[in-house]
Amino acid sequence: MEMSAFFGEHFFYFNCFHFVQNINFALKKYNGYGYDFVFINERECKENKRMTYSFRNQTDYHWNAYLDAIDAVLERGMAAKEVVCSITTGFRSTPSLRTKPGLNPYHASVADVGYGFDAVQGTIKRMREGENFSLALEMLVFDLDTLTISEQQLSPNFELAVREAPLDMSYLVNLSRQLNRQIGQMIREANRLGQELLSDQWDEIHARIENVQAIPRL
Amino acid sequence: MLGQPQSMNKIERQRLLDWWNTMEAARPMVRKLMSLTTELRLHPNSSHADGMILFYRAASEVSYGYAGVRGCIRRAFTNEYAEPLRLNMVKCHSFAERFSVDMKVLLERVSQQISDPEALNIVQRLREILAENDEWLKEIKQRADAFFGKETFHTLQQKVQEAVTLPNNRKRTDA
Repeated sequence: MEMSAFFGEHFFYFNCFHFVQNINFALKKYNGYGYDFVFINERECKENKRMTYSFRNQTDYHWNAYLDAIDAVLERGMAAKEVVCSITTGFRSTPSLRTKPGLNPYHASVADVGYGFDAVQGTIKRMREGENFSLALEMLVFDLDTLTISEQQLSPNFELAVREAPLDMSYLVNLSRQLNRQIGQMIREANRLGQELLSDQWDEIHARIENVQAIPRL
Repeated sequence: MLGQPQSMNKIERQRLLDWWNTMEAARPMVRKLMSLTTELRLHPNSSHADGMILFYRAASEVSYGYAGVRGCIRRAFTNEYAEPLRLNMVKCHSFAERFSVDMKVLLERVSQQISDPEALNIVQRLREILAENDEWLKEIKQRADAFFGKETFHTLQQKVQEAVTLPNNRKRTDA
């Protein structure tokens, strides 16, 4: 297992081609996705190892395996999500960007995505711990599906906000674009897994949670 | 916009790592807080209570604040570490703090319209986890203080504040 030795063996590193020339650490590629960046610590390595993407045959482990997989997919998108949040806050302090049209809804969608990741992972943890809460499936479908909505709002608002971004911002603009793409991949993959797990039940639950999804999120 | 790169010494790196480790330790709490928020949003007895829409907005900004701090720390370990990023770190932490206050205020408003025992139970759990959140924020702030040096953290916070406050230098035009 490749591990970053950048800052002590228990530390992980955010690996992006922009930084490679400056930092000495391992680059990990996921062929199925072609990431050029991933964050690694020991826990993430273990999760990636035991993770399987598709479960064609239903087994006793069916349910937990899917929850594990959804959790792991979101875990992989987590670093991207965090860096995007950080960069977005920076836009708020950049004189040429901070009041641009698009920035406010972009920020809101970034926050929605951040929330969705946390909520799904929190819900999965509660389920795994055996907590008995009647809305668990509704919560999963609701947050996973809302993530796909938020994700589609990212790009149009982002492009509007950075339309006149100065040249010295291009590094952070490009990095945001790239990370948002990766976040989108993770969200679509997590949704695919959720739909595979729940099959027909997904649509039935989805039809019901739409009532709450229709409430404004501002 | 990345500013002049600053280098960290060994002690600073250790303190930044301590800060990160505290963020890691707080993560299960953040996730549970958001999961409980979703549960309250979905529950038929609370989904239309006054304050729910804003309660959700505040929750998403708390999540954003925590994630932003983590993103900043990740970036600080690269050649990006510089003055703008330091301000950014303070700003993200302030986001988490400020919107945690909003969450607490709004939760109490929301709870006024709830009667169902199951929904009230979710509210109670949210109260408890928001108290836990306050403790974590305090601890994280201490790590941030240690990293920046107390005086610097305060200075940075003032800069952040000033940047989003109406400047007090209006010229009199009626003279």
